[in-house]
Amino acid sequence: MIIKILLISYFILFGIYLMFVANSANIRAWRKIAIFLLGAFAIFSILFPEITTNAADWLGVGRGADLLFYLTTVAVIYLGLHSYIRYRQIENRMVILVRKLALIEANQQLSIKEPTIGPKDSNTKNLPI
Amino acid sequence: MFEDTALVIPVYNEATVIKGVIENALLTFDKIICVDDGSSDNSDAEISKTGAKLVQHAINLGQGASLQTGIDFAKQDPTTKYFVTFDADGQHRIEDVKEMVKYLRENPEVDIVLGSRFLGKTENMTKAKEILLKSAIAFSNKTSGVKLTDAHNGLRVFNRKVAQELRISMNDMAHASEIIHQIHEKKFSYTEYPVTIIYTDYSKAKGQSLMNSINIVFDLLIRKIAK
Repeated sequence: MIIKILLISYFILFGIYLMFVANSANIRAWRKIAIFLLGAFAIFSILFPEITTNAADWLGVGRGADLLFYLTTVAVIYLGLHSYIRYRQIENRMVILVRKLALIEANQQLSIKEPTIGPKDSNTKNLPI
Repeated sequence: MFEDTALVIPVYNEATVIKGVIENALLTFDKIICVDDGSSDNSDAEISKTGAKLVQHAINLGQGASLQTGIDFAKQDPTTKYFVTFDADGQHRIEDVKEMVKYLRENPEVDIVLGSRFLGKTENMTKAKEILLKSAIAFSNKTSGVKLTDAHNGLRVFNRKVAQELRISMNDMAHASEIIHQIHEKKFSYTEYPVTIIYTDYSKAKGQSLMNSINIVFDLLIRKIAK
């Protein structure tokens, strides 16, 4: 069943993607391509509804509706994890800000000279997923 | 006698007890740093009444974040050699802290001393709590490569090397497991010290629930992917 191979390789690739998010320019480009292909597929499947069924047949899925359901599942999982990672990044930036403010305030009260806030946090780097 | 030691106390909505806890600790330790983690009660005012230094988060970030802020503040003072993490609810005994600092002084090859309830006595621990903690320890020993008898004890004493290198990025309660992971990763030499935990009704009400330990496990797993 081709659909099984496709879904499994999707999850493997997604895992690799999560581990090596560093090359972000490429990933952004691929995402744009994916969105374009999805849009094209959507328009064609509206114009020629039978192509989802044909695609499903070709992939070894029972019905076109099932194929759409699988694709939706894949998209939802991507969205969920993507949001979670993004949320953690934003939270980390906020922590750095709040901590810096707290130390500045506390040092002002004690009138200690220079606040040292520790080594640059690696979490600050910008990861545009 | 303990001019070289700084206590870091993360505080979140502890207005009813924090003043007493600080005043008791001040009898022994001069340097006390309270990190008020955006409390919505008047914890900050209560801390200001004492001789402790107040560092204040503008918004609530979690206990892990508070500890890191407190350590960052404490290590600015070059005369501080030993750093203590201490819970705000009064469950730790100052006697134990004194012993742990003395132990570090006498054993300079040790970087961090971790308090353990199960080497020492525990007063008023419920059976459910004991089972929960024992399973957390088993999980921690399996995943971290550091063998301990107690995994989520808030009482720790460590030297400047650890204070410099420790980076707590788990803002919530998962920081306890994160510290253990970093002991392994950064090859700190560690030892456990028997401590007595005083479970009062107050601290029991504030303690970690079973559901929260599920959060901790989930966070540790997702951290491996989302790093």
